[in-house]
Amino acid sequence: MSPKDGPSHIRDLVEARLGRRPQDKLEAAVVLEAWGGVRPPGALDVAGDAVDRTQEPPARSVGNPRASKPRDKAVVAEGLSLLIAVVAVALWTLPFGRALGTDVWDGAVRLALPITLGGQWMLRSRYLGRPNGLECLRRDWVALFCLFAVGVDVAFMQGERELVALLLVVTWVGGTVLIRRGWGLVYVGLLVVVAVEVNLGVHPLSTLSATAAATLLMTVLILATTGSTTDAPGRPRRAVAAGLLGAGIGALLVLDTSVGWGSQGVLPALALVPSTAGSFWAGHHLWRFYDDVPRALAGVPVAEAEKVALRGPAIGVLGGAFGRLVCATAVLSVLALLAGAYVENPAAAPDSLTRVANVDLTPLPAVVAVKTDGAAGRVPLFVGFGLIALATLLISLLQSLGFASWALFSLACALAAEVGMTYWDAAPFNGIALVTGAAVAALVAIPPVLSLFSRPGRVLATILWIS
Amino acid sequence: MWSSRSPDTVARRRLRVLMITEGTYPYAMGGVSSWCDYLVRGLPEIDWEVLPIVGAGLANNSGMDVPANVKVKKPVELWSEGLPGWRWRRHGEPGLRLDLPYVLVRGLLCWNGDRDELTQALVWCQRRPHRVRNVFRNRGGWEMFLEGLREVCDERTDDAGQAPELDTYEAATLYQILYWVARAAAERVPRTDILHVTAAGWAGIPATVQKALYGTPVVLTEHGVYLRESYLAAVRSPASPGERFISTRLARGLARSAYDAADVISPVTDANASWEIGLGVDVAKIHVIRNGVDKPPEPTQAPNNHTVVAVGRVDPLKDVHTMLRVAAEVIARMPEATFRYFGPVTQGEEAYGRSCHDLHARLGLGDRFEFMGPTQDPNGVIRDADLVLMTSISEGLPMALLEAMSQARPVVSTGVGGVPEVVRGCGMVTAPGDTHALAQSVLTLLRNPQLASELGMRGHARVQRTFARSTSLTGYRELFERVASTAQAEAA
Repeated sequence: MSPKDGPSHIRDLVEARLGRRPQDKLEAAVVLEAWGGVRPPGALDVAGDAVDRTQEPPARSVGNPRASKPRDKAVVAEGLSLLIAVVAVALWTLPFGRALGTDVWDGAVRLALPITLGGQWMLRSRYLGRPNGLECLRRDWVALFCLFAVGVDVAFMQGERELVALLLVVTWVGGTVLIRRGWGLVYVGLLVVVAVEVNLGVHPLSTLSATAAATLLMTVLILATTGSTTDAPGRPRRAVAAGLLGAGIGALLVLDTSVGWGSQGVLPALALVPSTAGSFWAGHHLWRFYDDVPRALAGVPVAEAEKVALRGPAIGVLGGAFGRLVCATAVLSVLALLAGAYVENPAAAPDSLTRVANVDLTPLPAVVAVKTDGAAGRVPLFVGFGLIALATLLISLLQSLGFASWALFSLACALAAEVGMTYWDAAPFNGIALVTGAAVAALVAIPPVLSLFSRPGRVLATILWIS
Repeated sequence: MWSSRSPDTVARRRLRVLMITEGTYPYAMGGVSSWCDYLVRGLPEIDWEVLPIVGAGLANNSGMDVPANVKVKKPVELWSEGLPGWRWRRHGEPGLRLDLPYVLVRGLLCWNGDRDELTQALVWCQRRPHRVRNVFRNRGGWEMFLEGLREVCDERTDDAGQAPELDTYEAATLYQILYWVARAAAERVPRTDILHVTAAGWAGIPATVQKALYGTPVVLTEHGVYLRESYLAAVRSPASPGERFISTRLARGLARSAYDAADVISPVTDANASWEIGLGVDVAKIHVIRNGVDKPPEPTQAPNNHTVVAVGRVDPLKDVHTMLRVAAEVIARMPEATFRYFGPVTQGEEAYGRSCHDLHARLGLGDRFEFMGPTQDPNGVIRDADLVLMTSISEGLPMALLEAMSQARPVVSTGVGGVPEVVRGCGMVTAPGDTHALAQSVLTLLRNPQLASELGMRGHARVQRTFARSTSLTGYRELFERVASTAQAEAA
């Protein structure tokens, strides 16, 4: 091959090597040099002959999206651990209420829930949601220790309620680290043992103290045995926003004074189970964004991407998550309500339930000494928690896509509504403030999410990838 | 060509040079990293600061040890999470420049993109770093980008064929890449006497900005030719036409921008200089400085054990498949011949490494051709062989050949890049991919030890004469001093 060969020969050689026409002169020159043995000046001089200058319509290109890394199977174990943990903690309610007084326990839970959720969201945003999260957390152990010491000081200065709240926070937040490390079973086992012990009559406060100490010890052990990394943790500003959102959701759960966390037995805590399960399933489904949206847009010309609008892949995934959340929460809530009705009055329960109820539910009344106004009275609680799960889904979605200010705004509206409703003396049913607050959060968060996701091309370019 | 006369005035204080690397020194091993290390150790009178531009996670590598005259700055991590810092807005500067993606896509991807406009856009990123993300997340930014992309695809020029019609996924991919171009431009860079860009790609972005803002002189050294290697990678990859178009046009845009910003472009071989001139670089900017090696030891007699070695990474650019076929042809005619390949598989080219082992098995080479893995003693393994073989399809000025010649061993190589310039009369050079010619050359030398020895001795003498380390380092020392004093004179 030499530069003196004619243009057609050059074109043939380049096309034979590439199996297609060269994209431009430079590609032809590279081929001529690398495989044709033409030296650089000559290659560049003659490469132009290989370029196709006909005015054919452009070839349609179809991108090849790479599949994202599959989610760790440990995520499912994490979800199960969370569910069992919620059930186990629900079973603490009566003995703790009896031993400490319902006011103290109720107050402690109301204090601990927002702090715990705030702490968990912040930890996930800055550390635990990242591949080397535990390693990053270990690096910041001094700051965390100082924070913990301040918390202990404050709790001891305040009183019993604050102390119990501190123990709960340590146990629950520490549990997040344990679950992230893959010690979910150990953690759940610990909570179950506590539930059994306190229901058997062991003093709850000493049991809770031992549990908090054990959780703390295991957390320290995990951090001490974790390797080091140079990876940066999440941005502080983002972590603070996540913490505020978590705390806000916690506040949404506890601000309604008509929902008694200590006075209504295990019900409020158990009522969290359906929405927690639904929320986890929906959240798991949302991960499909990162695969489904690029895949659906491969081969779609840019000009047509926006036309699919509401039928687009982003809305599809969001709809799938919404469906899962609603279905799981509704079905499990109905089951829980039916089970509750059966426990209180087996004769009044529907026939279908009594027929399948070969399950021995007799131990339940011992622990489910629920003081409620029947199944109808419990419905708002399940609806409220279901709506909170929906609001949490939307808020966490906004936050993870970098729209934390929107998420904070919707939460602020919700909290204002909930606080306002608690002052309504003529409230038609208990839990109306919870339902209203959660509904407001969801309603305010839905429009920005829909508006963003109805433009699949834009959502991929500007939101999913630049977050 | 750029004049390398001794400078009239040499700066009295120590020179401060910022070396900008891309995915190489000091985090990854390889030819460019070794070359950077050789340069900073060889010029201890310079205070070096190194600004590595790396993909997310690469900075976790422990990296190479750096000498005392080198300070490694916090790397610019692309595709990472960090955000650049906040800076005050200057009077008259737009707060949110929604046309940024439009200017970038046109400036970088158009065949005849406006480089001044591109530079101004990059400078805006440096001045308003915290706004870059806002622009790219904005609907207006995306819409402007799409308009720019349409103009790129509609551009007609004799040197480029019809652009493919990109799909939404590819357009979004390009948009994200441009975001990272803007982020690289937004990074704060220390002020030094000289900016030393080690590749005409991403490493050129901060230099372009600094040059535009402060007039800091820029020296661009090219070990290979960034653009040529990007095209070679694209040719080999199974990417879609759109992805290929994006990667090559972007490389071209970045290279043009870096060439534009550079005061001096210093390739390691005339072959690379030919490419640079062909790409539109003013010949007056080019100043070739060849690589050098330490003073070679006394030549030793070849062991005459019919052993052929190759030293280099297992990488598609080294065309190891051709080497395996050459080995098969040689062994068929000289069964006692043995081939040894020293070098690791390039990170990210593991599939290619596996394909080499598959071909090795298919050709039935058995222990007549062995992949030995990395070596700490390239000179030793070369000394233990009768000749050195290289089948690359792209090279700059390969150190492996200089090392072979230092050990007085003849070379059989493909004539790519600076190879003919190095080997000239000291070995045999064939067309790339010509298995038969390469095998014939190997057989000729293995069967004629006298000829092999003669070529080896010629190579030994040539390395001392033309590729001495001291000559190379003096070239760079004079270049930096000259550039600095010229800049000082202009500033005065």
